Amino acid sequence: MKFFSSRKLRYGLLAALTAGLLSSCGGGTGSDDGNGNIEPGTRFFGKIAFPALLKLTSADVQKIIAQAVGEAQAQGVQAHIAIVDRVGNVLAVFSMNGADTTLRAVAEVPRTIQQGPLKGDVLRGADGSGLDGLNIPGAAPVGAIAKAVTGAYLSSGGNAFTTRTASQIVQENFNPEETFQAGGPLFGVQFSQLPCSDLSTRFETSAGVSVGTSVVGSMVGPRRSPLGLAADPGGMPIYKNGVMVGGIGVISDGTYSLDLSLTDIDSALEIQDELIALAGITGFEAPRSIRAFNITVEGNSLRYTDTTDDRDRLSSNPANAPDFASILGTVGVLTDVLGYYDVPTGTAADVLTGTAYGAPESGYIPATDLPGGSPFRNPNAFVLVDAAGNPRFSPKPAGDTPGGDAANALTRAEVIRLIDEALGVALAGRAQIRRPLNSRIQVTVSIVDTNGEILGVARTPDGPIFGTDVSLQKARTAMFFSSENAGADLGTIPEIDSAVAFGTLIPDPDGGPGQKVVLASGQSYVDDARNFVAPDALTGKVAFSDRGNGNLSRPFFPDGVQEQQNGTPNRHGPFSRPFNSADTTKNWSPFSTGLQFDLIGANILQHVFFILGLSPDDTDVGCSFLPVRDGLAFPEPSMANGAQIFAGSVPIYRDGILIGGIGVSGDGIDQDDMISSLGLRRAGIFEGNGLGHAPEAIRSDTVIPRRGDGSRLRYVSCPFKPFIASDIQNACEDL
Amino acid sequence: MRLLDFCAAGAALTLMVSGAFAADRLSQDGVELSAASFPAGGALEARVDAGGDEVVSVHAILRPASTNIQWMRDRDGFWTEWNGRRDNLIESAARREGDELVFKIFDAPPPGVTSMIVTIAYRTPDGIKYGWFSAAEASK
Repeated sequence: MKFFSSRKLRYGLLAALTAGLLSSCGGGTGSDDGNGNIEPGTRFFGKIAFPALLKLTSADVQKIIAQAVGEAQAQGVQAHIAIVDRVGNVLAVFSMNGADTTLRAVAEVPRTIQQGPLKGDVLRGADGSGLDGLNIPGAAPVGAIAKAVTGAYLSSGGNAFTTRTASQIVQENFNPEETFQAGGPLFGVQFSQLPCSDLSTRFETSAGVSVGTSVVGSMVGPRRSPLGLAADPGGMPIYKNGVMVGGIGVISDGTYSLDLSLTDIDSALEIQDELIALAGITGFEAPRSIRAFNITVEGNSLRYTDTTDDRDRLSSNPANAPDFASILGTVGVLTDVLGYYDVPTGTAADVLTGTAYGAPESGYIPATDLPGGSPFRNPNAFVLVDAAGNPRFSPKPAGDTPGGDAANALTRAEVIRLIDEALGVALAGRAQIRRPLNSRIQVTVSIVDTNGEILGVARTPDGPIFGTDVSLQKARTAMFFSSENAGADLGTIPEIDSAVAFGTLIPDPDGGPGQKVVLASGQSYVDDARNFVAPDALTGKVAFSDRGNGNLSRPFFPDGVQEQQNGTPNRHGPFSRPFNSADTTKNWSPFSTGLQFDLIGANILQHVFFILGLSPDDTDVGCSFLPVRDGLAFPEPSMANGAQIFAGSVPIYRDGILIGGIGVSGDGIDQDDMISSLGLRRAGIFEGNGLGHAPEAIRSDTVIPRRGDGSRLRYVSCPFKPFIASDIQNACEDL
Repeated sequence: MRLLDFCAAGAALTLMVSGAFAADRLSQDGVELSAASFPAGGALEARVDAGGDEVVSVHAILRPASTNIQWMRDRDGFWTEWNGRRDNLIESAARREGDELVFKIFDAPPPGVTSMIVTIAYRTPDGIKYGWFSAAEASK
């Protein structure tokens, strides 16, 4: 137990009136005493500034495209250029005449299969390594949209990240190529904002594509991304007068890849997408002070572009770019992308104006602007709304029956308390990824029940948009893997061979054999987990945070330890594909992470086929083939927007019974961990009815996998001295 | 999620534009029913085979897609928010046609709702049987 200072004692006196009503938790963390006395400076309910309401106009979008085209012309290449607003609405897709329409997903240089019946062939997704190596005819504009969405979604008023930044933080080591370093902090984020997400909204085209789709108003976000998030350089954020308003995505080389070599400077061929994007956003650049290279994570500076000053490698002068009117119909055309962008007239009138983030049209508003007022105490809460301004995921009571008793279920008041306390921790905390230094943390918080039902979503005003969907993925993942039916549910998922499921191979426009993707069965992962961890794994005996689950989802176990011993392959987590296996057809890559990808691979494929006109139906709302747990209460799979495998969530218990999950996303992963775990702890203390963390004895940090060479899993890892106005060093001590 | 093959999906589209679908059976564990569509601003019904079951009451729940709102339908076709508790479900209405129950979901969809998940259920002396299906406005 930590002794409080006199300053804390004064604060404690104020809280003493209520503290007597609360049961003692028997111990304090670094930031509370276990009895409702919260260390000053570790909880913020004041008011902060909201982002200015600015939007990209059609004229802005036309100018950006024209500047990008000017650079592409100067380089002598043809490109697809997509522009989105901050919440993912596609405002234009421009395809230059002759641009390569094939999308080639390449995570590594072409590899040769070293054994088995395909020995000697060049590795493709067709061989079973997920999307890696897949050549998709006609999908290049789709990749451009994913890159634009990534530029917009990863950035905010406090940080400007590009798809090159994304590439740096999703690979097997951080930094990439630095062996014996743990995986990227956002390992797995590429499989978020999925086309099957039940949170993300969908665009309704004038062609009336609606069956099976979710249309929640004309332009409200956050929109889904066709391929998830991208790590292929050439996706950048767009700012207007310093305000985050959108993103640009460029594909000119036909490849959808990532930067595997952080220490070199990309060649002219490798960087052409990025240069075209850079030229495009001239006049719409992120403030220099918030660009990624000013931001450090785990001691590593992040990358923004592979240029010195953004201008040194341009082949054009954007100031001399042609007018949009002069290039439309001559240099290129606006391009329909089914489910994302319509071109009804073919004229500049089809270039859209974006939404202003924070206005109802964007799908995000301050909770205080809700018709009935905010349900939250924290005055900074932002919420999601539909086109009419009605809340989309307003706090609600759970409809499940945890432990067989509906009385255990989360109440609406508890959901509100959980979100309030989490937001309070976040805004008191020092952001890892925002500038200037000592900025407050900005994130999204999601709460789910044991069916995966969304009980509430709220956020701070300027959290990066990607955290909306990711926080929900994290909450569901922590809940799911802690549940007693996890193994049984996973075991129902069959192996899926795309050629069988869709009745056709994917033709290779480069002349290769027809391609297919094989997704491993859920039972194979259950078997691996029970072999690796314990025979009774995935039966609800362990409380898995996303950090603990993430340990089992890395291509090296322990994370980052990649030595081979006595010629044996690297040990990998049971939910990951192996790295550098002798059977290269099964290898891990950012396009094929393991269970995370195999859960939703069919959704992505069906969606891409739909966009390309090969399937009459889009993918369902609700990802994965996981069974519905209670169709009356929540008729969707329990991880209906996919799984997430980096830290920032914990399962929620009441008196030792699993009742849900809380997920946080938008800042550093240690910050996300702290917000979810302290938010839950404090809500439990204040509610005083058994709500709280899992018993210590069952948390994932008590687990030493039997084939893990003695290495223990982890549960929560909080940052040191995390608060702006408190000297507390270890906020999660004795959590 | 249904494992969808393209041909089956095309056939389903053709069958569903009438706003009703062929009878399925509900179950106590819940069952996913065939997707349905309805004309813009038009009606939606659901038909299930209840042959042999003693139906004590019927219920219908509607969830607009991408929300966490749930409404339950009363006998007169009005929608009220449902808190997720089975004991709090109010009775809706359905007509019996031989062994089949025909649930009237709506004459016109709730304003602004073009895509949804509908759950239909009936109580028997042995408990609730239910199933759900996605429904969306038909292609224009």
